[in-house]
Amino acid sequence: MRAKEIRELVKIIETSNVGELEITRWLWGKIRISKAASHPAAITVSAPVEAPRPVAAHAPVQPQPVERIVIESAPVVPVKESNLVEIKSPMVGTFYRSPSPESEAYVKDGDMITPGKILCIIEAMKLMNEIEAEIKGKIVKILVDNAQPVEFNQPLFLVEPVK
Amino acid sequence: MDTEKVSCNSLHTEELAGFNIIYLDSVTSTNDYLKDLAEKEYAAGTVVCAEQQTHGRGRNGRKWHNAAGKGLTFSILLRPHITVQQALIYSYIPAIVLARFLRDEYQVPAWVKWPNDIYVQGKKLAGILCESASYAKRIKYFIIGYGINICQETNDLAELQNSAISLSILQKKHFDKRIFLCKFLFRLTEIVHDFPARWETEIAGEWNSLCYHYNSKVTVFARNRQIDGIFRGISETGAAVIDTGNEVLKLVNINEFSLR
Repeated sequence: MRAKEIRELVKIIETSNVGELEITRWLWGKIRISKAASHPAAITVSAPVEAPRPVAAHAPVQPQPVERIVIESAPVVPVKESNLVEIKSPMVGTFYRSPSPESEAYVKDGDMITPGKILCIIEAMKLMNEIEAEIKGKIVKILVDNAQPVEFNQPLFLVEPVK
Repeated sequence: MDTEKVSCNSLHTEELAGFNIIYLDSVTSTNDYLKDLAEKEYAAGTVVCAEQQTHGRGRNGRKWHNAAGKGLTFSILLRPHITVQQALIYSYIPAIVLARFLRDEYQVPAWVKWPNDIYVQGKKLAGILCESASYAKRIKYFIIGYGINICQETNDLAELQNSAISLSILQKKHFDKRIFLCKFLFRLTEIVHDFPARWETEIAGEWNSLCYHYNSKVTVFARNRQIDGIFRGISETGAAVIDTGNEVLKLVNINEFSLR
């Protein structure tokens, strides 16, 4: 995993109230980033192994789009591939999970989504804009609380894509 | 009371200057109804007009009152080729168009109030709620919902009579809501047709010139923080500009807005 990607994940944790994020990727095991409960600002990065070091030697020959990084003491059993995708806010505004305070949320953790499915409303000034899903997948985490302000490009949902 | 003397032959036809009007007796909200049609690929120019709204809404789910069907409530479906970012400034257009229309057609001294109301003599004449859907950062459809007080008498407004006003009260005569709607849609067509190129950079200036509380003291709550300052209109991107004396803020996330 590149430092840039880790930084991005840390940013997600910082800007959301998600306490912990664990990502499993083909060949590089797991990475878990968690916020220490007593120090909300402190971020601890802990992979199951030492910090990833690129080792080209015994990389498998399997075709793969991601960079070939092998973690030395990574578990021998390959972990299931799972590239989580972030759905980001296309605008600055206030994030709403449901059409009105009394109604049910558009989506919740674990829901399956398909392109065109309404995920949330972002309200800016006087425009209520529904955000539709562009991918098929499962909502792994909703990263923003209802009625919270969001910035342009701020991650809103973590989705596990499904083919 | 005089009845407005206007003949409008196209009243009961469905097609009007590119608009396809659907009249309903009662609906939860014209915006909600039209959203369903938008999802069913209805064309831009579809208009839903209802006598009664059982769940008329304003911004943030606030209730919109329409006593005895005397207000005019309708929604217009548009499909502009714009990004979500552009949609913010575009959402000020409906208020500009209505205020200009009221001034030109009815000689009503109409003003805009941030973010989306029309005021006359310090009282609310109309409210606007824009709703849209986006896919891949582009607008799929854009719905303008209007609620305009047309035929209400003072007693219809009941407890709202100190804060609301109608066209009938203002001009002491009866108005036909459908004629108002037809005339308004004609005006909207003129503006929408040659819209993007000519207008986009002028929206903020146009809106600011119609804002009755420009340079007034306001209190806003943004990100749970109270900000007192002078309202300096909207920026070219559609943010509210608040001058606190120490700094000039361009705010997009405003939860509460009140004049002082």
